[in-house]
Amino acid sequence: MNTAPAISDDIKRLILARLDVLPPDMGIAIGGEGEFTPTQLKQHVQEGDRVGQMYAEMQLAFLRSLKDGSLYE
Amino acid sequence: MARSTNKTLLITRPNYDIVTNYFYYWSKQIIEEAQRQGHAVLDISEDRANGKEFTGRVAKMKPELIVVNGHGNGSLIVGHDQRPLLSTTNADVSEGSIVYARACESAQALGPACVRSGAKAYIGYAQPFWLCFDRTSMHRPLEDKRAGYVMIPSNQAILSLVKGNTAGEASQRSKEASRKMMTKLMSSDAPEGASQILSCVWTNMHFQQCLGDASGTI
Repeated sequence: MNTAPAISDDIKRLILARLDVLPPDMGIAIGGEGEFTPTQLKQHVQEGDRVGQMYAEMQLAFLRSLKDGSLYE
Repeated sequence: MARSTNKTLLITRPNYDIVTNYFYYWSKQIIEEAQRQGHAVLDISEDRANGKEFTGRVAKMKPELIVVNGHGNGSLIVGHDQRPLLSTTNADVSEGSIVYARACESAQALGPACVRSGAKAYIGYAQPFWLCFDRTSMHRPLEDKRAGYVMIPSNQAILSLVKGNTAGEASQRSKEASRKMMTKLMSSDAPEGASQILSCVWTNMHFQQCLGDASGTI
């Protein structure tokens, strides 16, 4: 999951839009990487660093499962 | 379901950051259920959740079920203050046990190493374990409803093992609990931020793996 190419601008916009609607008191922990607010995650996604990539790839995999109907599998 | 004898559960509960604090408190339900079922519980918590204590206790008590809470990567799970607990180098301590690992990525290499070393089965996650939580509830982890959507399905796997189900059934019941949570999160009365929580629940479910003998029981 961590070896994917850089996040494209289109994907960034999609992920950032999803983060925009989260309540500010939401915490998201990515195991040993740490805990993040939506604002902090937006910054990581914009910078395209390791945390941003991990978050973007997780979101993309989830959105693909919605699209192809495999959410419950 | 009738069982012939009582079993031993060893559980590690480090507690030094937000994630391990949530794991620490949400593991209480497991300890209580195991005790209710008549099992012996070895609770290795806080600074005792270190490699020396863990390895010594497992070697001496030969627990039928080992529950490891902590941060991890593909080949290692760390305990309190990031001290190594279970890794591919001491995987042989899990011989004869079923292991459930609530940690990131350990199903990649650590799980297979435990199974090769004689663990009956290993339930863990092949990718990071994602936790959503309410920052206003951090000091009351058990009252955090956002965290509950993630923690309840995770706990379900262990509770199922404690009740005598097979490793495969335990993993399936955990995934069924995840699906129920996802349905709640897509309902008309879903909480704020439901889409984010849903993505965490789905990811943990999707990457939870049951390795080894799926028909194994404690």
